[in-house]
Amino acid sequence: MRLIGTAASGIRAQQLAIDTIGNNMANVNTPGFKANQMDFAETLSTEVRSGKTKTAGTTGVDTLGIGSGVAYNASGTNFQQGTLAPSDRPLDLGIDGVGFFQVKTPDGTTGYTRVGSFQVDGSGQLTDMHGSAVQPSISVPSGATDLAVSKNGEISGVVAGVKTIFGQISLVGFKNPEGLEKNGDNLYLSTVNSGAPQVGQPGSTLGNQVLGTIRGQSLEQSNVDLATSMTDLMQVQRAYQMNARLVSDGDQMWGIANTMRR
Amino acid sequence: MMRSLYSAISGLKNHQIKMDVIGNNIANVNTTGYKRSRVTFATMLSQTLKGASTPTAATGGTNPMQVGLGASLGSIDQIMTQGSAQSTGNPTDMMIQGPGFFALTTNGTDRIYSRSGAFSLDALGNLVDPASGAQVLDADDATPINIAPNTYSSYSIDKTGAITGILSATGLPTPIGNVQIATFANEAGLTSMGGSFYTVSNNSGPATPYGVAATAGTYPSGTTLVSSAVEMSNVDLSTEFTDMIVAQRGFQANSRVITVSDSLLQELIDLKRN
Repeated sequence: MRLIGTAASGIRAQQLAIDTIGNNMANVNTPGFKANQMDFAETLSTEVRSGKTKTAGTTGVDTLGIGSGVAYNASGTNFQQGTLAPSDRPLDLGIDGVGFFQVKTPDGTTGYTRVGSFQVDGSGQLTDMHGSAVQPSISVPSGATDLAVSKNGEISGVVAGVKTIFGQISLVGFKNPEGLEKNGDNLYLSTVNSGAPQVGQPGSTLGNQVLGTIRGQSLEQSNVDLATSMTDLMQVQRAYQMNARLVSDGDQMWGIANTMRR
Repeated sequence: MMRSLYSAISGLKNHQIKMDVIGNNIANVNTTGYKRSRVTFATMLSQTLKGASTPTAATGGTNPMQVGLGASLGSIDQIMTQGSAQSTGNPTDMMIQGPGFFALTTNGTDRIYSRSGAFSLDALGNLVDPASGAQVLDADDATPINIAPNTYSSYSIDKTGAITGILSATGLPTPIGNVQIATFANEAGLTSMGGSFYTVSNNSGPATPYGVAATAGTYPSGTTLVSSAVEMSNVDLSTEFTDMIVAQRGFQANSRVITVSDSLLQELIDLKRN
């Protein structure tokens, strides 16, 4: 009986969908978070009758196949812009448009992030909240006041009464941002399918895309929409239930077949 | 078991901590020199179901397929913005306009830092924090500020931190000391230790004392001392209440994921009836 296997594949797929929705909702208040989405695809069909080509004497017959369930196909990331919520830290930077900040993690890996919650560490270097240094590195001297970031990413402040520019924030664009790998701590890593990172100044044009601009004193909110997530949750729950019902119905049919001969 | 269950638990825990921080901010809405904190979340690791493949001339590449495993705490930042001044009329009250901290000591050798300048004089004439008895340090970073009793008819503190007394015997103005203001490379990296005090941490950088007698010289530009006033808490109730709504709704959404995950597991258990 194909039914049980088919329904089981449905249960597995819906479980994965609920895992994705659960993760989205866990990150509903994670800054810079981009919602994920599961896409499903049909699995192979079993041919119960093969097709025939139309000849002079006979009509053609279509192939008759029965599908064997569902497989997960891809997990997409929705890179839609999140709301830039104002904050009162001068080093909270939001990207208005496409692009990522580039940081170097303590183990030397280059990561990309949408979360511009930066700080100046004890040695004066600009780092992200996990201590990963912003690339190219920017150093802010001790005692600098009135830190400000311009639209094109220039970080400036006042040192001993003189306005000074400390450095320039660069943004990184990818041909296929959905191809990036998620690595936790709000970081993305480049993959073979994301395309090579292209570094540019905020607001500049890279190939066919225009990098976003920087908004100081603001932090990009998660783009998870609770209304969508909640309705998706209901839908997936019911689909899961339906597949579970199919398994028990299949079981019941099998039971009937087993008791036909007493 | 299901990933969604644990994603949602991580979400619940984080929102709980967000709520804890908001609660502490609101509790300190009227604490002088208090600096509010803010929680940010970060994504947890993602489980890779299928890696990315390279595009070739004949076929397109595929994106990685990943399921995230929830959220974790990103940071709890101290927001070191200026609080507004509250005029008190008490001559030993002071506040710092601009970045920097008062330096105090509890035993002569340790150093603690505070934005709260509600000071008073003790019986020996030392300028102290009345709650803990910690002494306010001079710009030389060695001696406490001492306004000897029965010596001066009056004293005043100017915006550079210089304390000048009028000798009661002669009526001549005499310098008494200079209030130290210490700055740090990363103020938000200081460790908060109760009593409105902070201590140096690995990530704050060392303290740089400022004042007339300090090696770094007088206060940096943009920093002045205001006497007869204290700095109010920088907690903004409207921000805290909106954050509270956000935390509550985020918590609620995550608890809903748990109940749905539970009902799915129940569904599985019900598959086998006898």
